Amino acid sequence: MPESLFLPCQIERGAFSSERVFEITLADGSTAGLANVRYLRNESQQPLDADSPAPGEKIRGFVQCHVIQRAADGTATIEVPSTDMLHVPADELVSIG
Amino acid sequence: MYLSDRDLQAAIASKALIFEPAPDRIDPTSIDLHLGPLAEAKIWDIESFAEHEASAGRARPELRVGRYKLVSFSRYLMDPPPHREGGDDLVCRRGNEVIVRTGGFLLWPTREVVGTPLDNAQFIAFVDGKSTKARAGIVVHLTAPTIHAAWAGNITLEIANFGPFDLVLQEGDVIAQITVAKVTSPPSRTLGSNSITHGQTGADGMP
Repeated sequence: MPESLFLPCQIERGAFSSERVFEITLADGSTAGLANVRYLRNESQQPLDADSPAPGEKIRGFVQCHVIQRAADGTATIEVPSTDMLHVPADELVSIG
Repeated sequence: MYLSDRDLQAAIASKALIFEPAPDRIDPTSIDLHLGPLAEAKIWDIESFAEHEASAGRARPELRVGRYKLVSFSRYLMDPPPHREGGDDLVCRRGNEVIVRTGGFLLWPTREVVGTPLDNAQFIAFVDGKSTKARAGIVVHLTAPTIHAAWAGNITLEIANFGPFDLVLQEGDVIAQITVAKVTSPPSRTLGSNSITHGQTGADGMP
């Protein structure tokens, strides 16, 4: 079973109340995806409130990810909702209980 | 192997199957899904999309199906316009109702959150229409009925009217159902490959 952790991201509202857009900053740019709110946490590592973030607002938070592989160079291959696999610094991954 | 009513009940009770809020009733091999809040009903804003296309030099809007990125394309979702007597909108809102005329198409998430936990997902589910409603010409999932193992959320129904009637929909209407099947083993990959939505931003974030 893959290790389940969280990765820092920016979060804004999606088209539907249960959806959020998350944006992850990568070494070579950024990537964005759509996720159900259950896969996101706010900056305090808590589940998002129904009205958070406010329309037009972008907040810092975390998106849930699964770690597919950890490399010797300190990077990790992960999956986040709705995007392809990503390579990120492993020390950016956070465990949220 | 599809789950019977008894197995569906047991799966919900053990939290192996996420179904929130809990169903009022379970049919022999399915559970009904209800339309969520009216404010969640959305249509595509074709005029804004056409303006974007025109700015890119395309006289007729085209959507590149193999390449478009839903995360940025979602900006073109909008509320249905108000109903106008004699109006020709294919989807419009009249009070607490949404009218869908022949050829109309809209997105409307379910009230229920449905799916399976991220870890040790044992089931896959399928969204389907209701046979009693289907005869009116309503379609509710348009080729994407699968709720993959290890995903859970509100199900966004892709609703179209292929029939001859003006259809009237309201929050709470039962127009869809799910059936649930057991997977042979929990999937080794989960989050990235199983979302009902896909998309990475391109250089300009546009479709």
